[in-house]
Amino acid sequence: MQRIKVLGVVVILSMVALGLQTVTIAQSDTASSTGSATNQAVFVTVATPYSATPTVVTSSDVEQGFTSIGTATFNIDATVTYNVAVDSNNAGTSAPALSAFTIGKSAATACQLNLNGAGFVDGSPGPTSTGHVITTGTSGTDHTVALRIQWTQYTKAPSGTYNCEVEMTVTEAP
Amino acid sequence: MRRLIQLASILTILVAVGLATVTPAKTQPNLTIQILSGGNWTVSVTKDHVQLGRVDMNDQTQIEITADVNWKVTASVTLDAFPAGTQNPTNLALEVGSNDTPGQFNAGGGLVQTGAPGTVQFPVDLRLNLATLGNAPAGTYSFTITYTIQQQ
Repeated sequence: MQRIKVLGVVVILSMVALGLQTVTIAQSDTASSTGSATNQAVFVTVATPYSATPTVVTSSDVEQGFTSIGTATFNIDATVTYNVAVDSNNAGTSAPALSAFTIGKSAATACQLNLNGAGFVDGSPGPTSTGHVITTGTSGTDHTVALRIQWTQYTKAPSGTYNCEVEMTVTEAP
Repeated sequence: MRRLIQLASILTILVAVGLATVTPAKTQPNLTIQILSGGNWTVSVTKDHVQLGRVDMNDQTQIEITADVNWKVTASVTLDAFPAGTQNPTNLALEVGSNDTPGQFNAGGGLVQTGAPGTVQFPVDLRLNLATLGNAPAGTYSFTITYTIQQQ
């Protein structure tokens, strides 16, 4: 019995001795930071506007039924897939006071728009399109909008100034 | 036999005591880290950011460490909030610069800096990689960055 006790003491002391040599202490410290980024997702700029010089209607315009105004380019940067809508239905679109239109048409519809070469449609409501999220390093995506005034929508188009104001609206695709 | 056992016991005790006293006392390393400035940041994504594909925040956060041993600081990022519809909501969108390897950014965090004992202040560069998020709707993306200092 005495021998067992002695052996027990020996074992315990040996374990203590070994344990004293293998103790290690880990130490660390932490600090936290928080931040947030607010994303607008879509950015639209007019890269190339329509000509500031008024277009004069010619006899050939009358014969063909429309007058070409030209093309504007809109540049879109986006981090999300988006929808594009173009129209001329706003305060900047007008025709002389004595103008008259075929049924369902107006100065806004007569400002026909061609978005990205898809073909001319009435300016109100205007054409639509979709676009995709940009990839790194691009300078955005250009969207071209050709404009013409469709005289066949008028039953009476007196002399004067005809204005078309083109508006592009870009929204996140649902 | 009994004397032999007693002798062995005494020797063991002496060895144990000896090891305990000879083994150098292990002192706890002193390692502290604190954020001096730039710990709470906000940024608005601009058209230029979108064209670049990322938001660079150089020297965004200033950190001070004190250490009496060789040390290393690592960072880990969590994405706390993001708009509904985010295609790839991942902490990997926020990248943390490595001062030991200038120009290198670690997505979601990683090694920031190592050093020798002393008190050292250093800046941390951050970068939000918009492309990592994929389809990223308008809204606020919130992150927490935890900096940890450890003995090397």
